[in-house]
Amino acid sequence: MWKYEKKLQYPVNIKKKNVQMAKYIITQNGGANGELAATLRYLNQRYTMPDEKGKAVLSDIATEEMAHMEIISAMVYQLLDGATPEELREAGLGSQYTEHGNAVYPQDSNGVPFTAAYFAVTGDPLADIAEDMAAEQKARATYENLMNLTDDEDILGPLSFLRQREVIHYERFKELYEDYAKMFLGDKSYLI
Amino acid sequence: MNNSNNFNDISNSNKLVSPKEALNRGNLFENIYWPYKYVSNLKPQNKRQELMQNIQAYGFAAHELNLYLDVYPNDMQAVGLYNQYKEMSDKYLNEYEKEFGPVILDSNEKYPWMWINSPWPWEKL
Repeated sequence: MWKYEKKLQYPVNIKKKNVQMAKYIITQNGGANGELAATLRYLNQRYTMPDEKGKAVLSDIATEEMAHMEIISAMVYQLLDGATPEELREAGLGSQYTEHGNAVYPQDSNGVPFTAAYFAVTGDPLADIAEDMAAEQKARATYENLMNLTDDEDILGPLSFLRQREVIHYERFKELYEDYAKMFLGDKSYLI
Repeated sequence: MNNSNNFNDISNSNKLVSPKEALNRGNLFENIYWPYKYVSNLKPQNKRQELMQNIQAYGFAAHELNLYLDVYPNDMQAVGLYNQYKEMSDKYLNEYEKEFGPVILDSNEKYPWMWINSPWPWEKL
């Protein structure tokens, strides 16, 4: 089960409305490399992990990814707060406004809705953890692209925090992958 | 608090930064830190933000050790440090909740029910 804590993992206090950045940042909620895909990928993969470490790492990182989706959503909410239909239309969000008003909806920066097809669950621990390592690198790259699109420190702070989490998660998955490579192939493993 | 401004050693050659620096960086571990373009320097603007950022910093440091310990469960120093940071996080949580209402629901909630009070986490503090 899960319990809600009424706080963010990292503070979000954005003083300046920025509709254009909201349109870009929403992809880390509902895009292919986003936090919703991450949490669902790990939550569904964890049942078939071959040892206790794998079950723990996937459960705990999946839980953290939910907190990251919340940070991204808080950013989008604050960036859109008070935006008029006219401002949304000028930023290319006229269609977004038609479908969702000023609400937060899981989609990518092109407005494509979230789909479970963004991630794989194979039941094979080596294949699943290798996918997880790639997912963390793709999310890191996306955060860097987003950071290159703004100079607002209120936006850069949380993006930089979230990017760095991908670095840590990659490291933990890599350690797990090396364990599993040895488990399945022994010391002769060519996978590491 | 112990060593909060120094590096702390645990096993596997890990160097740890202070919880506050870890929250700014998004990373407790000096040896796998990979910065890009910008590092934040969080500065609380009021008492509420200050308490919340202390909860966030110590809670984050404890969470980093939790993930590390999932892979290295036999690192005794890391377990000790986890307990220390979790205790600090709980201390600031109690202080915050006394003044600003519940962050986590427990068994001594007051009347009237304050859980619903703004700001919710996505609203500015």
